[in-house]
Amino acid sequence: MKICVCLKHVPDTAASIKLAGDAGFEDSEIKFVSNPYDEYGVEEAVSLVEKEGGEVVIVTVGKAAAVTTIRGAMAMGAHRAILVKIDDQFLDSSLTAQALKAAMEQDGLPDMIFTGKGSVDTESFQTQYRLAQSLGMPVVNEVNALSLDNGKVVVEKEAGGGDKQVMEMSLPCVVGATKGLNEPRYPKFPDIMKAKKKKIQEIDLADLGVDGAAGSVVIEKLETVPERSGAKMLQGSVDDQVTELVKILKEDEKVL
Amino acid sequence: MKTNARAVVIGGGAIGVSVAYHLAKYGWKDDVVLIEKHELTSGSTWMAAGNVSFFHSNYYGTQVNMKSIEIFKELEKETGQPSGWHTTGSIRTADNPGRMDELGYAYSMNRCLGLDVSYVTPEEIGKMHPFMNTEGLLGGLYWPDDGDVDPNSVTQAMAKGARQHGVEMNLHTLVKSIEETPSGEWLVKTDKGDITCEYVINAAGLWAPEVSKMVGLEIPSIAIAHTHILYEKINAIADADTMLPLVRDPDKSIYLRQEMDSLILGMYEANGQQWKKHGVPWDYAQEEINPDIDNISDCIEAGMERFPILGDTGFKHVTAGPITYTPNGDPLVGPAAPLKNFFQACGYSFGITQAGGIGHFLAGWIMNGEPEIDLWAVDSRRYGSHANWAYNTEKIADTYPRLYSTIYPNEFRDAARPNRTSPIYEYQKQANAVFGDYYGWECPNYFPPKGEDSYEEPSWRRSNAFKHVANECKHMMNHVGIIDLTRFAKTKISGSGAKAWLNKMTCQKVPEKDGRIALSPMLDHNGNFKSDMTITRVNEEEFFCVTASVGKKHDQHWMLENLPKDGSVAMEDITYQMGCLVLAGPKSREVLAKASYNDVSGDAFKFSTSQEIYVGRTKCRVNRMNYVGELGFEIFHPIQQQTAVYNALMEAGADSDIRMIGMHAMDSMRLEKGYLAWKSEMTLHHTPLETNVSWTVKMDKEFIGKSGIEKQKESGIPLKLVCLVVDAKDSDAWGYNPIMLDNERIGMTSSGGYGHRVEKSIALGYLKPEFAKPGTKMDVEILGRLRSAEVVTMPIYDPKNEKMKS
Repeated sequence: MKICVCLKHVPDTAASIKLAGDAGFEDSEIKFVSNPYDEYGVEEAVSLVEKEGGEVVIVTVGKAAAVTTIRGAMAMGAHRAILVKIDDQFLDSSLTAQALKAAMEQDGLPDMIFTGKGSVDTESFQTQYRLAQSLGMPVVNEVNALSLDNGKVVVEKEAGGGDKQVMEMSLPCVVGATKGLNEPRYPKFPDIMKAKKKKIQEIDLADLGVDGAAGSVVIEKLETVPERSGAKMLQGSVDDQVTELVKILKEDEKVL
Repeated sequence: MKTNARAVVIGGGAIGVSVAYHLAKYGWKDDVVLIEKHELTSGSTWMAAGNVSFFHSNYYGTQVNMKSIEIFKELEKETGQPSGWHTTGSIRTADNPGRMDELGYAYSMNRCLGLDVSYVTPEEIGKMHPFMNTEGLLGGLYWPDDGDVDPNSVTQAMAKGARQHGVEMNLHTLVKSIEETPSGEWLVKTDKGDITCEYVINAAGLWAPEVSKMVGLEIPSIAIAHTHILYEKINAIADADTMLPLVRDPDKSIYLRQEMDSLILGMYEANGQQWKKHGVPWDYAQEEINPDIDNISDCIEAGMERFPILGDTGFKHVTAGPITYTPNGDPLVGPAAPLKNFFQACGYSFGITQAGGIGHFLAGWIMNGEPEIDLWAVDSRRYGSHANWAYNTEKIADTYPRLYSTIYPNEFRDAARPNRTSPIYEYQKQANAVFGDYYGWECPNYFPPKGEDSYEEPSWRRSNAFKHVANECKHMMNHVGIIDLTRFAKTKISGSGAKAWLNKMTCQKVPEKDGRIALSPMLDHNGNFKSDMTITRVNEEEFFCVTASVGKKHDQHWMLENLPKDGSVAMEDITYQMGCLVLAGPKSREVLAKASYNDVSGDAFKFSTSQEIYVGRTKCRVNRMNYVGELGFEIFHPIQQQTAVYNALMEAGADSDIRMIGMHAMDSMRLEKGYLAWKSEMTLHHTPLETNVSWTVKMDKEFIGKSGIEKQKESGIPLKLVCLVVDAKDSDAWGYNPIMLDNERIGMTSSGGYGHRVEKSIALGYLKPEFAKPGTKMDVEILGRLRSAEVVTMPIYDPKNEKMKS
């Protein structure tokens, strides 16, 4: 079984982002991590291949520095990787899907594709749908449970109000992973060292025949969220403070 | 925000919060303001591992750690806020004999402090820490009362205590500048308003160098990315009832401690990465740095060797963040020279360990004018002007990976040297000198014969230098030698009020006649030793004052702080204008006579007097006294003429077998003479009355510290300085050795070494007076082993000073 996992190299949500120009930011010093939702995909793919046999291929569209994130997924057990290199952190979902599709086609289409439910930097939540549509595969997003059953994939997702949806897809398919699907394993040092020797194939976006300038969404401006201010410190004993807090929540904020 | 306060603490990390908390608690209450540019703990505190142990290489540093542990344990009771303290015990391991010696030193020194510490065998270590592979270990030390604390919780608990005592905490407030007002106060300007205050405490951590720049100081502190790894849950740890002890395996440059149901591995890797070389940006706050696993992989592998389970356990989180480091890894604390009422509390790489204690001691220092314990080891003034940005960059790159290297008393590391050199440096090199580094000065420790390796093996025992030092001592005893003491701190005090002011500064009577010299200790307000000073009277209104080289900034700061504002006394630092060559030995007069145009005969140039004479063509200020106890002359000269003076002496001494002599020989000889050394015998814990210089205390005049001396005269001296001859075979006392009698500690050594002229192992130390009688037998504990010793009459060499006065 060949499984591709789409993995994005994103700024740590705890990083302090400094803007550069209208629509860019300083990325040389801040900490980057793997998109956390994608990690559920990596774990699920690695677990499946451990049981069923096969290989896990990481496919990343990102800057050259994304290699560190790819190595992290390899330390979790992915076998090899393809990095489609771009110059900007932000590529719109349509181009990302095109790049992923082209890379996978060149490598040979997999039996299953994992993505995260979305990326924590751009939060467009579209790539998995666009990718599935272009490949003609079924797709379910926000999957929090998955099993293989006679060549079919049975997935679950929350349907709201405490209900869950259970769906069945035929292979090949695209699965958008989310929290609850598994507990991603923590890489062990020997695996980190082994991961260094695994192969990462680097391809330029243009070499895949994708025009990086042809995106349908362009970021015009980035702004930082203003720091919250005006915190009110409650005084007095703990009892007084709780009473005061409940009063504020009821009367002023009207949330209770 | 307040506009006036007694004290403003800059920085809301563990250190700053603790200082503010203690200042308020000890009585300054709501007169204390803390300013933090972001949130509490957002500089380095957030990423600290939280290890809190007694171990510190210095006796007084250990006491700061002890105080921290005491405070952390009590904090919850007082503030109602948990500090996250766990008592886990800690082990420090050794895998080589040199390290075992270092542990022996720590063991003996800790026993002086009454700490619970014991040697443990590799088998015992294995039982205490079942995950540990003890292969290759020789042993270790175990402290059952060590533990860890949650850095954030403990800071918040102290912050709560601080607020309860009245401290105003201003978060998200950035200090923009600090100015001195005409009335001598500080004006701290922030983006939220200005505060006028009496005291400023710089606890700004990563930004302490920037805050220092605001008041014109350059401090030796830089940021390095430190990394520790939190492993995923380990079931055997989660299920255990007791916590694992903290383990430091310094030979592998790692530490490991339990954190909840798992382990944290920390390390000092070979290539510490300086972070933000040119200053940490003001807007940095609590942000992780990309960890560089490749750079720390050797240490991780070392960790797996020692703790094999780490190889099967995933990394839950790798934390890399900036922490401050100084040239020797110890912090920068205390009054900042040359300023008034500006205190440093920064440069910490083990801030959590000392946060509680240093807050307590620094608050006392600020409020009482003197610290409760002698904190010279962490005093910011131990670094001279040579310790600038470039020096730090080179020096700390060497210090960081060696933070766990074995500490040796005779080791002078090569990095970032040379800095200050005497004009005769090249001659010293040609004479095969092995140099030491003293306050940035290259100063020869000894001169092995040409052809022999000019390198001293670092050791707690007698080193390869031993026989060469013996030769130098005997040479000086029988012939003549030159010691280079160019590094002496020299201060010219002049003016109509000079004499009266100096008489206030020292307990000694300032000389009444021109050309007279007086050993003139300066005391603190309690009557304890502040500084070792020799005053030469040049004339009625001019005095030439010489103090220890390493204490230059400290001593001159003390003088400056006390200098009258009316202009009646002028103080001029002439350290870098004058060199000093000490000519000593029985043939020194003969040599000087040949080299000089003046009459230097015993009648014309008496002991303990000073003259301006020509040595060769150079006019020199020559003091007939010295620190080795032979006939001798301290020849102070214009530094630019040093080579000429040196050559004149060497030529004149050619027939007398003149040679250069180093620091090791000088130290050996001063022990034999019972001459006191600054910060060994002369510390803030002893008055002159306890020593053999009690004769310098003149009660018929007023001086700083007199009331303390009077008090001690009434109550009797608690301790007495003695000279001990120790039955040591290969390792001599060094200082902080317990002096024992029938398993009871009756004193502690202040220094020690081998006296080559008397061929005995010597220790100086303070004893309860009832044991100080010559002939009393006792034991001195050296590197963990008891050696028999006996009190002898001091000085042991030339007791009547006949040689010096000949």
